Amino acid sequence: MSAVTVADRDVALIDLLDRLLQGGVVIQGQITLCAADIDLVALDLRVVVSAIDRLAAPK
Amino acid sequence: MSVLVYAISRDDARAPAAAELQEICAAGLRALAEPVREPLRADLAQLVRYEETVETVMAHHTILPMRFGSVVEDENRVRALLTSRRREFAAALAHLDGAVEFGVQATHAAAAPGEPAAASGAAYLHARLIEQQARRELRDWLDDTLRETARERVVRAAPSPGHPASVSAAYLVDHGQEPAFVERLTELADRAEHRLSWSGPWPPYSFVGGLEA
Repeated sequence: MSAVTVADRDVALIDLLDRLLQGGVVIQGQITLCAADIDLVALDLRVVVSAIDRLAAPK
Repeated sequence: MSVLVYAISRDDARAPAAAELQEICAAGLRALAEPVREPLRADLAQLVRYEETVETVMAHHTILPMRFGSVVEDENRVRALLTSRRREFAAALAHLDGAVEFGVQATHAAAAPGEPAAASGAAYLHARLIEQQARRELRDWLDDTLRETARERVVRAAPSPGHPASVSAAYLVDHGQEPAFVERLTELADRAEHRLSWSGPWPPYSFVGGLEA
C-alpha cells in the first residue's frame, strides 16, 4: 500500500478488510474464524472509519 | 502443530521469502506459514500484521495470497494441498507474474435516488434500474481511462448507505505500467466527474478468486 496517501487512509482500511476477508485463496473448510468474528471486526472498523470521515469533514 | 498460511509461491532457488516464516515445500511450490498456538483473532492489529507480512513476501516473489484465517492442521496437510492443486497454483502464479493489484472505488455523481418508499413495487424496481444503469456508467467511465494500462480487472457493485450507485473495481497492473496507471487515476480524480478513491499496490487478492484448495 505504499502509494496510499493519508487522505485515503479510511478507504485503505475498508479495502484491507475486503481483501483479507473476502479475497485470497480459500482453503476449503480451513478458515477458523467464525462468521460472527468477521462481522464484528468489519462492523467495528466501519464505525471507526465513518467516525474518521466525520472528523475529516467539519461543517 | 497447526500453521497459518500467508501465501503460496514457487519453490525456486531465490532468497528465503521472509526470515520469520516457515517454508513448507512440495510439488515445486512453497507455502509461507507460521505456527499458531492459540485461536486466531480477527482484530485490526492482526489484520495489519498479516498484510505487512504478505507484502514483505510480495516484494521478492510472485505470490498467491491466502484469505486471512487459513489455518491448516499440520505441515503434511499443507504439502498434500500443494501437491493436489499444483497445476492450478502454477497456472495462477504464471498469470500473476510481474503484476500488482490496485483498488478503485467510484460513486456516481448524480443524486442518489435513496431508498424508495415500500408503498410501490414499481417505484422500487425503477430505483434499482436507475442504480444499475449508474453502475454501468461508472464501470465504463473507469474502463475508458484505465483498462488500457491494466492486464485484467474485476468490478462489483458496492452500495453503501446513501450511496447505492457505487462500484468497487480491482485492476491487475504490470509493474512497468504502474506509473502510467496511477497517472491516469490521478487524471480521472482531477476531472471530478464522479467521486473516486483508490488504494494500492496490493497483493493480488482479487485475482485468485477461483482457487479453492
